[in-house]
Amino acid sequence: MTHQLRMTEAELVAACKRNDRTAQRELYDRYKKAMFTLAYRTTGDFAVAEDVLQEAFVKIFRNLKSFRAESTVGAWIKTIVVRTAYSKLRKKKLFTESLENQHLEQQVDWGHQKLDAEYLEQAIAALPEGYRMVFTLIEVEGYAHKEVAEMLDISVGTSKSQLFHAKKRLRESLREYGY
Amino acid sequence: MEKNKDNLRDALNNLPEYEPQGDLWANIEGKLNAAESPKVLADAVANLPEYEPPVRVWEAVERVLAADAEAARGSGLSVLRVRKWAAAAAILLLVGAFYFSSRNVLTGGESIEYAEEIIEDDLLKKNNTAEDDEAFAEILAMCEMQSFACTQPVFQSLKNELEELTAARDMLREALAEYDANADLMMELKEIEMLRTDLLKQLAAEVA
Repeated sequence: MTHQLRMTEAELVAACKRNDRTAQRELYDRYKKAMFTLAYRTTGDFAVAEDVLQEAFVKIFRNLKSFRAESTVGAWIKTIVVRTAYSKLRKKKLFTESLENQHLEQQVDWGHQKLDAEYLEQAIAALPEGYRMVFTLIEVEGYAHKEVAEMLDISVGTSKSQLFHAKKRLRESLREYGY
Repeated sequence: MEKNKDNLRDALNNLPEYEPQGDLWANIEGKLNAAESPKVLADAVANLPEYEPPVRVWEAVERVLAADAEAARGSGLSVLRVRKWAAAAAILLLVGAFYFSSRNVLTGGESIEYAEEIIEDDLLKKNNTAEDDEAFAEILAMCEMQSFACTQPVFQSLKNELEELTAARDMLREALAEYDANADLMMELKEIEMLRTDLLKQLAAEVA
């Protein structure tokens, strides 16, 4: 009976650095679903998400030699996917709204009723691109405003403003679905 | 000691109570809802679906990786050949400099032999050096606006290779200027220009 042991992440990265195509495929398989989902959720378009995933993984394999393991390879891959998605969108003016601090003090009330994930997904996809990008990175992926600001080359204030407006818009959309 | 303290206690017990304003509960409830709402959102976010990319994405990635590997093999060989010719051109220049500086001491009995080779005009006309130099300047300008891609090792490696080829090209040109059109050197010059064009395409793809 053949028994193939699962490579550790360090072993996998080392094999990918040697341009071992099987290892490259394994690394891709491990992350493809999460990264495709992230690419879709930040761009709101499956066709664009395919382009993002392809471009990102080509960059990942071409640059893997520069990966110093200061973070996990997953975090490194995610950053490249986000930057690639952002580069697809950045020609449009994503972050045009000025920061109005007084609005940020307002509460967004999500109510008590359990929110339906399917409706939430639709509402996220319908958000303007800048709102969607920041909301996904912070609320879904768990990044901090400072990290988002660095990744997207915007100020922390703009990140906060975008998130507030995204939540406000999402709440309004969900209300239309009866939540 | 206190005197008649019971009297004070009675009075304290009879202090009036006041009814809160009607909207106070609404305010409290709003704050409780706000405190709970992130959980409502987090629960929904945790249930968001994941999506499987189509197989064609990996197929496209694999094609690019295979092309990269092929290009690396081809580029490596060509660069080696270019270096060899650049070295030959440098030697040629040194020998030439030595000859011209010493020919005033040559005696009448010595003679110089030479061979003439014809270079095809097309070889010279197809040279798109100016366009490539312009493209490189545009890439560098893009780097000033978008630094991330340009700091990546792949970009830096391609840029170094391009600069090396440019130096080799300039050296060959100098040798050609000294010795007129030499067919082998011209062929190598042409090959360098083609390699430069290919590298520029790869650089442009990196910053795109």
